[in-house]
Amino acid sequence: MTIEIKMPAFRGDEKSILCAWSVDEGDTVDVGDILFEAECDKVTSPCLADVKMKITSILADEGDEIAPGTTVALAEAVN
Amino acid sequence: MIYIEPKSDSIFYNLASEYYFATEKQFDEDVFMLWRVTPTLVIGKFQNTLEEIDAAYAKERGITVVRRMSGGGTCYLDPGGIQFAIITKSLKLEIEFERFERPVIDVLASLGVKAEMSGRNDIMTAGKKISGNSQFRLGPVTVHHGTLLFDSDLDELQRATTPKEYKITSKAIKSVRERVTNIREHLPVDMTIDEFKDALANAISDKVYEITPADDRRIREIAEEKFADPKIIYASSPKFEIEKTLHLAGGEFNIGLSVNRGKICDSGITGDFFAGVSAEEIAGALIGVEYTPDAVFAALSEFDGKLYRATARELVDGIFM
Repeated sequence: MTIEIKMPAFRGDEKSILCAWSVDEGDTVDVGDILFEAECDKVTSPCLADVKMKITSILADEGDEIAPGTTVALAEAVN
Repeated sequence: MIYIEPKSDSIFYNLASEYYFATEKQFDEDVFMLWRVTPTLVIGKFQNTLEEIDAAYAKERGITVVRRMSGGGTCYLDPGGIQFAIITKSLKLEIEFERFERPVIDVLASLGVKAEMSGRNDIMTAGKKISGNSQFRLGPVTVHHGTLLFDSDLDELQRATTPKEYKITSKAIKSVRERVTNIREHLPVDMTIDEFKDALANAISDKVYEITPADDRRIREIAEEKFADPKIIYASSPKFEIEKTLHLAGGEFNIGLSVNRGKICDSGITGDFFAGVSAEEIAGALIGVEYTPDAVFAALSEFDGKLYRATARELVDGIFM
């Protein structure tokens, strides 16, 4: 099953900067692992994996300003 | 709220204290902290250090450079300012600033200083900024911290936050310069910085926790691991490219570096004073090297004596200053 990893909404419709990826394509991550870190309005937030998954495609670059709800990566669920 | 005062003038120790009480020694209640430091430039988590500061000036003036865990731009701190932090547990995703800044604004009002939130996360008085604020989140914990300019050297603040002009290409967070003022200038009745600190602590907190020797030991370890390490200060900048021309006794030395995840991933060098070694050899020796002064020096020191009137130390100072 394909999982769409999305930019959360930290302040209404305001865009956030995807500052740093903590994973690469091909990596498998566990629940609670950091996928990427975002900054919105001087607040840094880690975005965590909520299921075990394998990252298949990274769609956003570090430094990109991204609207909430935008898909930034694709992954496959891992049992 | 529980009041904790680190009682150190080290930025590394004080930022480590915030981290320690956010992650390792947690309380059910919110924590309020106040601390002061020696002159320091504090870089935002996702800023490029060399894009934000004049490293040579900071070194000459004995100004410490550190990277904090929260977002936003670079700020200058000195013993004339007070920093406050509020550590709280919250699962809310939505960003909130007023909850953390309102108590400080209320204390200022009680002292006769009319202040208000502005620009969503600054505190202003008389149209000028007296407090910059930012936050970082670690799981369910939010750490909010803010500066309070009480009696800071505003000329030094202006100079120290003026970066040296580098040719750097990056998507790092850029600082925004604003007009600032000291709180002391706006007090109807003068008070010392310690009296101001006590007024904040007494009004905002209702109990005190004293740092124990065991806390202190762990905080010192965190200070070294997470804040004082040059890898954190220089190498953890977001990916960037830097070009510099060094004017050395032997001639011009042009260097271009690409840095990603803290390591040099591409390097190009040209110049006219290569004696026993080629430019390509020097450039190649830098690939994969951590982007810190010590690591770059170690990589270049094998070429000492092979360059015409230039040393590895001069090259490193030229790259990082």
